[in-house]
Amino acid sequence: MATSSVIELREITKRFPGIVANDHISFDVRRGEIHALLGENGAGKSTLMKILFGIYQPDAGEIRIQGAPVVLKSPADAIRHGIGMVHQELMLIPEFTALENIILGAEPAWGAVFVDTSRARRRIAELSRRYGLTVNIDARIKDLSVGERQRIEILKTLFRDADVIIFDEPTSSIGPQDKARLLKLVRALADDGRAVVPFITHKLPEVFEICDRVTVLRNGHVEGVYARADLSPEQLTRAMFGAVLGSASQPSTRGRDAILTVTDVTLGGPGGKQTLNGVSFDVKRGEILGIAGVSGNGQVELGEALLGLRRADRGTIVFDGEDVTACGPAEMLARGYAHIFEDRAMNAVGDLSLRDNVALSFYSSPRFTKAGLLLDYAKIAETCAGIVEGYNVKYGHATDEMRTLSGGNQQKLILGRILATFPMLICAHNPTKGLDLASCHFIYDRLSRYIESGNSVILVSEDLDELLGICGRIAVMYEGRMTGIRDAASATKEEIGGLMTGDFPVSRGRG
Amino acid sequence: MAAFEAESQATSGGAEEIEVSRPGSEASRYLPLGYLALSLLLSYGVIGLVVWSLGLDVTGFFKDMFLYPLTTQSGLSTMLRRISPILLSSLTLAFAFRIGFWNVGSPGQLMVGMIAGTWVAIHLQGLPWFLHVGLTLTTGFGAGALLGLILAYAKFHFGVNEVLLSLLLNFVSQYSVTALLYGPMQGRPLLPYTAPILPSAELPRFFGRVHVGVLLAITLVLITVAVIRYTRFGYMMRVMGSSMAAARAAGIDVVRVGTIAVCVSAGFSGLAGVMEVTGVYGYGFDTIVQGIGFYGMISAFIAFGRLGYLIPAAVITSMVLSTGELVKAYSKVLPSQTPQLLLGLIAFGLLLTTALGQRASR
Amino acid sequence: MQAAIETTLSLGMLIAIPILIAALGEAISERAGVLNIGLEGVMEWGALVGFIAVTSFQSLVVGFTAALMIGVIFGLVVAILTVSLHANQFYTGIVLWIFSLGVTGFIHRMGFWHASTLDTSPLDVVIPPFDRIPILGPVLFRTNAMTYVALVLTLMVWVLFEKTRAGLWIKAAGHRPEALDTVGVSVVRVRYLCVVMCSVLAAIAGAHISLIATGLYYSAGFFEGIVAGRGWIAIILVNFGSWRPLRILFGAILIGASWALQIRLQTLLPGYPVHVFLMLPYVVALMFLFLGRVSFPEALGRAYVRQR
Repeated sequence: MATSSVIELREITKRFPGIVANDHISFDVRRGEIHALLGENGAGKSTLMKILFGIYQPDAGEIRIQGAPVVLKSPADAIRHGIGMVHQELMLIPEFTALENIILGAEPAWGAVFVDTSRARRRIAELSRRYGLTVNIDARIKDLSVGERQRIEILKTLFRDADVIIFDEPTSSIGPQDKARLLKLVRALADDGRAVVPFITHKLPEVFEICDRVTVLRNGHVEGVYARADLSPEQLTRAMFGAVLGSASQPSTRGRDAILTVTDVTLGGPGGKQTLNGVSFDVKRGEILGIAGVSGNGQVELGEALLGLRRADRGTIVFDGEDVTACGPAEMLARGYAHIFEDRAMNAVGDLSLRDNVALSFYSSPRFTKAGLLLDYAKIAETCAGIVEGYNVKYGHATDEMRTLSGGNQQKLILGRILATFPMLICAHNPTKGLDLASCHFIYDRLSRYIESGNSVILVSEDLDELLGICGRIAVMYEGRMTGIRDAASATKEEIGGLMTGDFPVSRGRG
Repeated sequence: MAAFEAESQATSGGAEEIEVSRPGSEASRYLPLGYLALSLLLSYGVIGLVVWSLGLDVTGFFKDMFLYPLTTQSGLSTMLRRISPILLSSLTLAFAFRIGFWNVGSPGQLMVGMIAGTWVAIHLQGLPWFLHVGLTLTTGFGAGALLGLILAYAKFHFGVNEVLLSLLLNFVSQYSVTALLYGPMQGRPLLPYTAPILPSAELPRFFGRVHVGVLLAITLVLITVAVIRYTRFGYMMRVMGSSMAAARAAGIDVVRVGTIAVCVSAGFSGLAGVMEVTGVYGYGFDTIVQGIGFYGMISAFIAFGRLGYLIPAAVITSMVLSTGELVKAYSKVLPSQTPQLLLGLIAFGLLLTTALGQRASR
Repeated sequence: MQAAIETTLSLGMLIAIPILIAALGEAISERAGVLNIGLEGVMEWGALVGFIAVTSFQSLVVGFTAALMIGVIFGLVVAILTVSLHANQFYTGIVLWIFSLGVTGFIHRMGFWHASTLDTSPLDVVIPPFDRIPILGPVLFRTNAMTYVALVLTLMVWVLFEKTRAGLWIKAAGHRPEALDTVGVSVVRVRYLCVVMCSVLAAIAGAHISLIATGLYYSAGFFEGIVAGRGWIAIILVNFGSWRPLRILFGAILIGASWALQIRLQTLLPGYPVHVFLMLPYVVALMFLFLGRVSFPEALGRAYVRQR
C-alpha cells in the first residue's frame, strides 16, 4: 500500500444473514488514479462501495483517508471527507430542476436559510466549463436523457469538491456516444488530481482502456489486483468466474411465417418522453427475436401494448393471424401470449405463497376450477411441485412467501409457470437482470429449447452479449421506433450500438 | 396491513441483491394475540387508574364490568344484540381491505341502508313475513351497495382517494337521512322518527331481545372467509390486495372484481343498518346507528383486519360497549363515554404494539 | 342586500381560517412524504385543550399555547409511529382519529369544565377606515387577529417552499427520500419536524374552532365532534390545491363561503330541514376531491426504510 493512497480499505468484512458479502477485502486508490473494481453480480462490489460511502458500516476492518483512520457512519460523513458517488440508479429527483438537484444538501445560502441561486449558478457554470459538462441546469430531470442525467449526477459530486469519485456501473445504461464522453471526462477528473473508482461488471470491458489498475472480486473476496499493462481480457474473465460465455447458434428462420406482426404502433406517454412512435416489426415462428436498446426508449411501453395493458393510439397488432390491437391482458393470455416484465413486481406477488404465485397462470383456466366457482388448489399445488422440480428452484416450504426466494429462483419459478401454459409467444424483458450466472444460463437454455417446438420468444435486453448469444435476429429500439433489424450471426456490437443511439441512418427494413 | 405498497418486495433492485431468508412464521402467528392482550391490559389499566382516582371500588368495578355482559340476562342479550351491527360494520372494512381498499364509509352506509330498508318495512303491506323480511333486508343491503358503487366508480375511473370520499359521504349521508327523517319519512311530529314498521317486517327474536340478525351476520362472515379461501373470485381479491400491478398483468379484471367487492362490503353495512330497525327498535331515527361505524372499525382493527378473527373481535368490542349500561350505576362520577374511551385506548394500544413489534422483527 | 353579502362573506372568511391553518400544516407534512390522516383527531385535541385552558385561566393566549403544546405531543406520536416505526400511515391516522374522538369526548364529559361565557373580543380587530370598503372591507378589516395570523402563515409557507433550503429538503423528502439521504441530509429529521409542525398548526386550528369559529353561529365552547369533518376537508384542500399555499387559501375561502352560505340559507328558508343546508360545504369538498390532482410527491404515504 503506497502512502500516496487517498483511500485505503483494510480487511473490510461485512456479513448479512446467511452470506458474507465482503470477506477481508483490502483495496486502495491513489491520487490521480483510476482503479476499477470488477466482479459479477453477487461478488460484493455494491456492498464495498456502500461501505465506502457510509451507507453500510463494516463488521471488521478499517477505512483510512489520507492515511488517517475514519469512521463513516452516514453519507454525510463520507461527503465531508471528500468522497462523492455517482450512483447507478441515479439519485436524482425527477421533479426538480438540474440546478436544484445539484445543490441539494449543499446549497449556498444567505442568512443560512435562503437559497442563494445566483452563487450556485456561477459555481456550476465554472465547473461545466472546466470539464466540458454542458447541461441545461433549469431543465427538469424527467425531461433529460440518461446521459445528461448522469452528467448532472457528476456535477453534484464536483459541486461538493469531491476528492474521490465512485462510479457505480457508469456505462451500463448509456449509449456509445455518451460512453466515450464519459470516459474522457473520467480521465480528465483523474488527471486533475482526483482518485476515481469505477465499479463495473464483466459486461463492460471498455473501461479497461482508461483504468490504471483493476481489482477483481469474486464471492466476497479479492481474486487479484492487476495493473493495466498486465491485463488481458481472457485473464480477467477467468479471474472473475472461470468460464467463458459461449454463443448458441440458431436455425435459419427464412421462409417461415410470422406469429406476430406489429405495424406502425403509436402510443403517447405522459409528458411525451416515453412513447412509441410508429413501431413496426414481426416475429417469425420458431425464432428468438432480440430487441436491443438502452432502457427508456419505449421498451416498457411496447410490452404494455403487446400484452394489452395499454391500447395503442394508432397502428395494429396481429397475433396468430388475428387482429388483437384492442385486446386486454386476459384475452392476450388466453390466446397464447405471455409476458415477463422487467419489474418483477408485475410477474410475482411477494406476499403470496409459491403455490399462489403459480396460480397466477392458471386461475382462469377451466381445468383448475371446481364447480365453476372454486379454485382447485390441490391441482395447482401439484403443478407448482412439478415446476419447482423441473426448474431447479430452491425454496424452503411450499407455503413460504415468494419473497423468501432468491432473485434467481424467483425468476425460474416465474419462467416455469409461464412456460407451463405453453404460450405461442413469450416476451421477456431483461429476464436475467441481476441474476447469478448459473440462473442466467438456465434461463437461456430453457428459452432456446422452447422454440424447438415452433414457439417464439422476444427477448428485450440491454445486454448485447446476451442478445448476440441466443437470438436469431436483433431489432433495435431507439426513441420509440425500430431503427433497424439485423441477423445476429452477421451483426457486430458496434453496428448494434450505433443503432441504439441513432447514429446510423435509419433503415426500417425487416431482416 | 401492508396493502398500499405498489411494489412487492420481490422487485429486483440494482446490480446486487442480498437475499435474506425470513425467520419461521410459526411464532409470528401468535404475536397478534400478544399485542391484543397487551393493549387490553394497558387500556383496562388506564380505566382502573381513573376509577381509583375517583375514589371508587376498583375491584368491584372490574368484576361488574366483566360479569355483567356475560352472566346477567339483560347484559348478555344486550351484548349479543350489539354483535350484529358491529360484526357487519367490521366486515365492511375488512372485506374491502382484502383488495387494499379502505372503505371507511360504514357510518354512512349504515344510515342509507337503514332508511331505505325502513321505507320498505313501513310501506309494503299485505306481504307474508318471510317475503317482507327478505325484501327489507335486501333493500338495506342494496342501498349500502349503491353507496359502495359510488366509491368504486370514483376510485377506479377517476382515481379519487376512497378514504376521503367515503368519509365525506358519511357526512353527506348522515345529513341527507336526517333531513328525510324530518321531512318525508317523518312519522312523529317534531321528532326525527319514522313511523313504526309493519309486523310482517319484524325479525324473529330469541333470548329475549336478540334477533336472528346475529345469526345472519355470523353466517355472512363465515361465507366471506370461505369465498376468500376457496373460490376463484377470492383468489383474485387476494392477488389484488397484495399487488394491483401483478393482478392486472395476470389478466385479472381489477375493475370488475374491485367494484363487486366494494359494493358487497358496503352492502354489509346497509344490511346492519336496516336490521337495527327491524330487529331492535321497530322504527328508524337519526341516532339509531350512531357510533356503530366507529365501533365496527375498531373491531376490525382488533381483528387485525383478518376475516377469521372478526367474530371474536366483535364479541370483545361488544363486551366492552355493554358496560355502558352498567356504568350508569356509576354515572354520577364516570361519564357514559367510558366504553368509547376504552375502545379508543385499545385501538391506540394495538397501533403502538404492532408498530413496535414489526420494527423489532426487522 | 350588500350588507347581507358582506356579513356572509366575512363570516365565511372567519370560518375558513381554521381550515386554512390545518390545511397548511397538512401541506407541509405531505410535501415531506407523510400523510397525517389523523388531522381531524389532533384538531379535536386542540379544540378541547384550548377550551379547557381558556376556561381555566381566562386567557386566550394560554389557550392557544396549550393547543400548541398538545399539537407537539400528538405530532411526536405520529412521527414516531410513521417515521421511526414505519407503521402504515393510513392505519395510524385512522386509529389516532378514532382514539382522539373517544378520549376527547370522555375528558370533556368528565364534567369539570363548563361552558362558562367565553369572551374572545380581545382578538377582534377593526381597522377603520378600510373596513368601509364595499364587500372586501368587512371581510379583511373587521375581523379577528387570527385571520391575519393565518394569512401571514400562508405567505410564510409559500416562502418556505419556494425560497429556503429547508423547503428544498422537504420537497426532496417527499419526492425521493433516497436522494436526500445520500447527500447527507437526514430524512428522518426533516419528516419529524414537518409532522410536528403539521400537528401544531392543526391543534391551533382546532382551538380556533372551539374558541372562535363556532361561537360565530352557535355558541363557543367544546362539544364532542366539534371539528365536524373539517380536518378531512383540509386534507382534500391540500390535494385540490396541489400542495401550494396560495391555491389552498383559495380553496379554503370557497369552503368557508359555502359554510357561511348554508348558515344564512337556514334562516332564509325555514321551510326546509336544516340538514339539507348543512350538507353544502361537504358537497363542495366532494367536488374538490374530484377536481384535484397534479404532480404528486412520489414518496407520499410510504415509509422510508434506509438500507442498512
